Amino acid sequence: MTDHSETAVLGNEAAPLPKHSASEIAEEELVEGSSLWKDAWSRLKKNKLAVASLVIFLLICVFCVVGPFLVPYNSQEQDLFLGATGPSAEHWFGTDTLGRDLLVRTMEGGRISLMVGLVATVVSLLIGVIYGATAGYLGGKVDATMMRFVDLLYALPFTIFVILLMVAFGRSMWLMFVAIGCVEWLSMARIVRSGVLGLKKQEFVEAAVSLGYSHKRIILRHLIPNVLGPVIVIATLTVPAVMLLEAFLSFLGLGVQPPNASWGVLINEGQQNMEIFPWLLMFPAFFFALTLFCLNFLGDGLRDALDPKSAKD
Amino acid sequence: MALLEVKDLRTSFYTRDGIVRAVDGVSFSLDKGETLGIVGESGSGKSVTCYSLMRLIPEPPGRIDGGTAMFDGQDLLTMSKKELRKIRGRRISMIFQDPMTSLNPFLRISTQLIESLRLHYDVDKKTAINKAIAALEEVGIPEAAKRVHNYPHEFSGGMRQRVMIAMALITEPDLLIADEPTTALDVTVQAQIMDIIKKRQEDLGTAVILITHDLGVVAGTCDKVNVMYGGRMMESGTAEQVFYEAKHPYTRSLQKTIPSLQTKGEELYTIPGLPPDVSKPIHGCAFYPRCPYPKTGKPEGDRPSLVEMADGHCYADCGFCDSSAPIETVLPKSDSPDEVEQAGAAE
Amino acid sequence: MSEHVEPAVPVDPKNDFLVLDDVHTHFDMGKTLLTRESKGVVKAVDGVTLTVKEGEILGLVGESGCGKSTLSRTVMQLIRPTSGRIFLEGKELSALSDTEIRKERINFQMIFQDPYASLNPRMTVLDTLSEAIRTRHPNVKGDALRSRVAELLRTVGLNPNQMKRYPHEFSGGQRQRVAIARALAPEPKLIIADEPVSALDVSIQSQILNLLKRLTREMGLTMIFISHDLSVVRYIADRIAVMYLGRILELGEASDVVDHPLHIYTRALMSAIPRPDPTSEKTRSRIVLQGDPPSPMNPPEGCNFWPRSPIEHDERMKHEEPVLTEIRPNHFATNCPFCVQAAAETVPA
Ligand SMILES: Nc1ncnc2c1ncn2[C@@H]1O[C@H](COP(=O)(O)OP(=O)(O)OP(=O)(O)O)[C@@H](O)[C@H]1O
Ligand SMILES: Nc1ncnc2c1ncn2[C@@H]1O[C@H](COP(=O)(O)OP(=O)(O)OP(=O)(O)O)[C@@H](O)[C@H]1O
Ligand code: SF4
Ligand code: SF4
Ligand SMILES: [Mg+2]
Ligand SMILES: [Mg+2]
Repeated sequence: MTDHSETAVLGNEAAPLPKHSASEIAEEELVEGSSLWKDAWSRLKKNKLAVASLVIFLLICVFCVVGPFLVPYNSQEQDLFLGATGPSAEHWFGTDTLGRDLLVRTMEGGRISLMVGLVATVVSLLIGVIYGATAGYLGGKVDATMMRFVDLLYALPFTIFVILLMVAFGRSMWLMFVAIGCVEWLSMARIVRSGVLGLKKQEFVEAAVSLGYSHKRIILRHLIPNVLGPVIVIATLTVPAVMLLEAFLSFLGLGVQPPNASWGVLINEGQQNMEIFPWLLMFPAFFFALTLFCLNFLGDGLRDALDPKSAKD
Repeated sequence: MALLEVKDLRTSFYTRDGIVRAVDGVSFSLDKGETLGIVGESGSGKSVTCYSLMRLIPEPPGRIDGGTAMFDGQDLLTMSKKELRKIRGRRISMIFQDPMTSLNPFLRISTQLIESLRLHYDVDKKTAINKAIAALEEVGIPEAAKRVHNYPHEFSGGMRQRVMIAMALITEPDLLIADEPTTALDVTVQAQIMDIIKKRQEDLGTAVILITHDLGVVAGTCDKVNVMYGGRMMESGTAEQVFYEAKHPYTRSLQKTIPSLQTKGEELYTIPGLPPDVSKPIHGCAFYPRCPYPKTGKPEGDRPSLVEMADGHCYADCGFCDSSAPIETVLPKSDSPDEVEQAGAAE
Repeated sequence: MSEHVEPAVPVDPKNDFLVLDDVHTHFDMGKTLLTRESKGVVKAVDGVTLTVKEGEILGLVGESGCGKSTLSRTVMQLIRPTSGRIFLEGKELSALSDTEIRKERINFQMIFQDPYASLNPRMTVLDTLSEAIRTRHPNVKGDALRSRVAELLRTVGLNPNQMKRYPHEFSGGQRQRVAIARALAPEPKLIIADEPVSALDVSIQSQILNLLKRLTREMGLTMIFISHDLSVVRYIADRIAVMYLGRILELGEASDVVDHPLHIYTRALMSAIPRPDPTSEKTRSRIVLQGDPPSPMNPPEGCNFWPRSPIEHDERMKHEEPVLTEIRPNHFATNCPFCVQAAAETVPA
């Protein structure tokens, strides 16, 4: 049956049918395909702004994570006699009113801010994607009930929700992750659900159903990978949103507690002394803004790279 | 003088992956009341030819690299945008390939129908609506007076395509360009639509360019036929010449693929291999890798020259085409394996 | 029609390979938001009785919207029928639970119309086919699995060294070949091909038709082949069923239906096919059907073909619901005299 060659062997110039079985197909003979992810990555690489943003963002991450080990100060070590001093050879970023080294504090604050951003985003991603995909795929009454629940949570005012949590469980950083994750997954779930509703009508999903695959398999292998494009874009934009949220909570005194600091806390302290000690605001604000910019540009670049319309040309 | 005279039209797309020579040297002429069919496989540059005439090529990446298209003494390819707007929609109308996406879903049919009418002619709204109703009646929409105020989604695919035709014809253009007007539709609806176009032509002497990959549709409606392949012209002539006296092997192969001409029980004829990749430069004859003729050599030069016979019948000839052999014996049977396997260009 | 009309096509669920017994698939359009009035019911499939013999290719033709896809999805149990029964090899599919159906699915597979939408864009051909093979052979792994994939690809005329590629790296015709390979992977007995060539170019169309025909013969498959183009169906099918607005109007051997059509509708479908011959095509007259098919939402009572019949006849007839009857041996058409007789009279000798 395999020798019958009415059909042209397409796709490879003048390739006669190999006479050996697949196990003998040497790896180098195999034409490696390029996945849509790979294509997107190569498109992204051509976007200079996005690549620069990615590099800067990674540098900021390294700066915040590795930096504190290289600086001979401790973020909580006070030097009350010194007080607030401007940038100098010893303290590059200067010191704050309690004489703490601002460089270390900016690094460690960044670590916390970034961690809040990343952890909360990952949490919201996991919950949102699975929840949204399940609702969209199962459809009907299940979908209606699941999405009603989402609407309900949406309606809850966020600050009151956080205050309630704090009152009930006391202040803790982890609680803040939970609180923010709880809010952010809602929009993720909605986006994934509407994506899945569109995909469900596509014939490859019907083909998967007619092959008798389990619900779990269809959701995990056939639906989620295909909605991941927009989800990744949203995720890169969620990280800065979460960081802003954390800054806002810190502003209200609900966020990270002293002596720990996040960029939000530092900016808050800085703006109280803005007129006398401007560097206290300048340095953390600069890094915070830079991170936000980078993530936004990266998100835009990813959107262009992953957009299926540009994938066609 | 011909109504439309296109000479050596060349349009390319300058993409990241190279220059796509979508249309590479196409010429034809069309008189009042005539129908020209452009046939060819997918990707042969049929749509791009027409978009070029209407100057609807997205620029960038597209660009019209050369040629002339004289419409009533004016060159469509070089005239100013302002002059073009006066011609587009009024003297030349176009029906697009996809009936589902070429009507605006948010506007009533009536609004869309009278838009171009009021743009080009000085008519009041009431006259325009009456004209719109008449146009819908002409294309066979029942209860046109009532349905003219409907939205596109309230019409079936076939009816939407008829609305598209009504829209294209309402300004009484001299030239109608129809890009695969029936490919997405049933054979029954296709027959109705071709009848509408034909009737219009008889009544008003509209010239029509009809793009299709269905040779059957061409046979019933076209006076002249252009066969395109890889952005180039392979053969052109009257319908009778191209059907009964086809010279070029590609034209003959296309004819052989028509299922209704083949005897049941046998395997259907297929042209071995794939159409050329126009993003790579083509040397010599575009059809060479799939050409069934025995060859003594590879065609040299940029491309085979176009041979024009006394009766206007025109075809590309590298000197290896045996135009005297009858069609049946020229083409080898498709199921000889070696010939099939050696063909097929990489994608 | 209230009382049940005895189906004229004999069905024998125990012995026939595939049996559709008076299958109806309706879509309830729900109620309007404010007034709670019913928006109506779309009777997409409205009483289809058919049998398909083992190893044959049944062609199903009809205009757009007549319910061909709905019928195939109903047979596939992707949509459950509103009423009626479907048997495959004596097993009543329409009575199985969702879990039981899932196990049964490897026996019947579908090929879809749009080769661009029917493959998962994020999976390589290897992944897609491996996954499908393992529905029947869950324990095949590694090299054995790969060699099966390679063999499948060769069967459909693709080079196995392309197996690590993604769908977007193939042309439409090649994708359709991959989709066919996927349908073959679970080693099904029945394949439903829903307009598998409508989206393809003429010359690619022929390649796929040849392939499908060869595979059904060599593997002893049974196939339902759907198309709106009789010239395509004529080539591939052993028997042809002509569908109109949810019902079958004519059913018979392919040569009978094409060469001696009984129903005027079949003749109209035939005469609408353009012929690639300028001289005869420009002069011949066609049977023209008026207007578009009526909407399957609230279709006309009784004879649903009545509004489009090109034949002038008695108004009273339109209240009768025509029933498929055996008019010639093994050749069925609706029992209404006018449409059928009129066609029979014009049959060329
Ligand atoms: N915007 C574009 N950018 C790049 N290449 C393009 C663009 N539009 C068309 N092309 C290329 O130009 C070539 C001719 O395309 P065209 O649409 O004219 O084909 P066609 O003959 O109309 O085919 P079909 O029958 O599929 O409509 C194709 O290879 C196509 O990929
Ligand atoms: N899920 C659905 N809900 C409501 N109506 C539907 C649904 N699916 C199909 N229909 C309707 O049922 C009728 C038959 O549709 P179907 O898709 O089966 O037609 P078809 O013969 O396959 O047509 P085509 O040739 O266009 O594919 C159509 O009027 C369609 O609008
Ligand atoms: S004979 Fe020569 S010019 Fe003619 S199609 Fe073949 S290769 Fe081209
Ligand atoms: S003759 Fe019978 S089947 Fe034909 S349209 Fe009239 S009532 Fe209907
Ligand atoms: Mg086109
Ligand atoms: Mg369908």
